[in-house]
Amino acid sequence: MRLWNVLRNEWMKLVRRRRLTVVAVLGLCLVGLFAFGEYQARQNARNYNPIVAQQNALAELKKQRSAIASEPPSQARDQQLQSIDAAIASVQQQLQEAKQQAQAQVDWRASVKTEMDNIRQELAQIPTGSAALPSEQARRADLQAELTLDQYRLDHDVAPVFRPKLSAWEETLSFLSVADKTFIPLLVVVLVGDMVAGEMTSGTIKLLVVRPVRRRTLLFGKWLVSVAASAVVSFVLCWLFLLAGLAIQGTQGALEPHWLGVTYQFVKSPDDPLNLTAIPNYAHAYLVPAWLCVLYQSLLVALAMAVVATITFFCSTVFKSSMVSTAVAMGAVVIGYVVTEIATARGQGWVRWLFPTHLDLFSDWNGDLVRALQHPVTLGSGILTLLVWAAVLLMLSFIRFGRQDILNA
Amino acid sequence: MDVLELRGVSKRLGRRMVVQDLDMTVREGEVYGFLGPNGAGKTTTIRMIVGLIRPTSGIIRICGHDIERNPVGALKHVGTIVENPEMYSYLTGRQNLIHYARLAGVRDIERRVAAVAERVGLAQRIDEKVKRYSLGMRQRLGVAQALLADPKLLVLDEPTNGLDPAGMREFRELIRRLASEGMAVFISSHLLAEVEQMCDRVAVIRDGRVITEADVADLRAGAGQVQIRVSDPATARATLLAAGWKAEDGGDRLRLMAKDDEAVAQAVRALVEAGLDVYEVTRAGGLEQSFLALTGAAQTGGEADAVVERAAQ
Ligand SMILES: Nc1ncnc2c1ncn2[C@@H]1O[C@H](COP(=O)(O)OP(=O)(O)OP(=O)(O)O)[C@@H](O)[C@H]1O
Ligand SMILES: [Mg+2]
Repeated sequence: MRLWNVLRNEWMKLVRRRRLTVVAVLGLCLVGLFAFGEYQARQNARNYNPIVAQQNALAELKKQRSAIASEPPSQARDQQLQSIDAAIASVQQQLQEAKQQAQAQVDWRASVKTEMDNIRQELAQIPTGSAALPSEQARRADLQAELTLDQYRLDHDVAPVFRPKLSAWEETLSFLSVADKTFIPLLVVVLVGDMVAGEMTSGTIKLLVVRPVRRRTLLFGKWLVSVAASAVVSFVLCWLFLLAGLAIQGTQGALEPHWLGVTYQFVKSPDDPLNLTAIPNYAHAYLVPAWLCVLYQSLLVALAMAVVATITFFCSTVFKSSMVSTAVAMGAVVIGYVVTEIATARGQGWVRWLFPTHLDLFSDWNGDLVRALQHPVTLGSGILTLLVWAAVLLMLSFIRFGRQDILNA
Repeated sequence: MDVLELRGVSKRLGRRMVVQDLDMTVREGEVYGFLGPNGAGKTTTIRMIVGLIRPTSGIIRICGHDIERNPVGALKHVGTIVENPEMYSYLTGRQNLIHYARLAGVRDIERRVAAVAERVGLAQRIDEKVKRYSLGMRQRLGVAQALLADPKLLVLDEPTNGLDPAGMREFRELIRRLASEGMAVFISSHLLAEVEQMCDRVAVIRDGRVITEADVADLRAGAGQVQIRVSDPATARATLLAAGWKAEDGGDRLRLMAKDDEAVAQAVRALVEAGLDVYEVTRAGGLEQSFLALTGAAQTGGEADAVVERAAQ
């Protein structure tokens, strides 16, 4: 009952503080930017005709070649000719692909079937069993996954999205995978940074803790409201991005399947002794349509942001000035992002114990993080890491706030 | 019944003992003044009483509940203002009061909020944002939130800061009325006059120690110094001493203790009968003098003088 009253109070204060407005305005600005970017991408895709573009490039290259060929013969001339021939070959290949794609748009099922035949042919050439090299095992697993995905397309009648059309679902997923490590956590920090420190700074904490309510009830109520508000704000923001994307690109691509839950094993392969080879294991993986991925992604973002809110909340109880607590939490997010990006790219396994590594939990799930990190990470271990961070810091907040002398407020 | 009880309460901040060995008792229906100069330790004591900080040693009980062991039970009976009553400036006065009422366990919140707003004279502007309030209005809102839970003990830290004279009088009347309804009130102040007008009992604190504790009525009764200007102070003094008065030499004036009008008249008659001319008779000081006598501020000077100076304003 007392907790309920604390929650109502904290909610009342949260929605009336200027910080919520700031967060809303910043969030809407970013949605606007995203929408603008999507609009540009759509225009570019529309104006770009791959066949014409490749044909133009080919004509240009051929003109260059004849110009060079007319020069007196020399070793330099021969080298130039060689490289230009290679370029011509590659453009011709791309032209071919563009034409195939155009063909596929007419009859995508036929082209999927052709692709499946090609995959089966390649699979037949890869040795099986213990004779296979790790790199060959990996290739086999990937090809089989592709085959399964193509079969899924045929079974569920899911046409690929062809240019110039773009899928708003994919665009949102890829945008969120960056925004949830940078921008959205910063919004959460702005929202929560003064939750306790603000009351210390303004002195209102005094009249709050002299009530017949336990300090831990007050703190728990504040924490619940911080976490709930952060989760709701970030979830809503995710869907605003999606809605903006859908408004501009249309709804196509909602059923496009994605692999989730792929696990990896990292081994040294004799044919590539310098790097580890990732052998995917699709045994427990499943195909999930894009719209469901966006839903999962936004739920995971909400969870991760609840953890960011808890970390910020901790800063807010430790530092008495809301400016300092906001700054420190922001520093943790920004520095954490930079450090984990660098360390992840270098495959340093220890970063998997840091919270910023797992802010994009969806990448724990779809395997992007594992492949970059080359260390075993799953959705479960990512969530667990975040929860341990949150639990420890929350406990420290309670210890700190419960015994603290409130002197200078 | 003892509503507030402090036993051997001390507080160390850093290296300094800011409050030392305080013993105080405040009874039901009593207004207790806590008087001391700046930095004496008044606010620190009040913070301990309302559970904002923990005493280094000693026990504080409110209605029998130890504030450290059972803060919820103790704070149920307390309304307070500590230093400035900071409120949420982005909320209206009413929202602020609702906020505190929810925590104080008030039943019929809306009615109670309206009642206390009425009581402190804020009913007209209770729906304005607090950031638009003047200092005095904020102070009133502070009193209102302290009264919300109908506490048995009201702990106020310099509550008349920023009130205009009319507001101060209203406030005094409010405090007296609350006390007559049985509320115990603990008020800190550095204004002697304020304490004199409001309180039943007063403790004087300096450098973290209570120097003295007394009933205001006793102090008033004891305040009987009279100054007399006469034609020949030396003779006059001898005359009065001979007549059994304790007269002191004070330059061109004589000082003596005369409790009531009858005593003054007798002294004047003695002087006149001795053939001396009496130019002027004044009663000096009242409580001020008593305090000076009690606290020995005349000898130690400094801070306590400042107290009295401000009291005289
Ligand atoms: N955080 C602190 N750390 C150390 N000493 C402190 C702290 N806060 C206050 N003090 C000291 O404690 C002493 C008592 O301070 P307190 O605020 O209780 O005085 P006060 O009687 O309320 O004075 P005033 O009339 O100015 O309000 C002062 O000497 C002050 O310097
Ligand atoms: Mg003070």
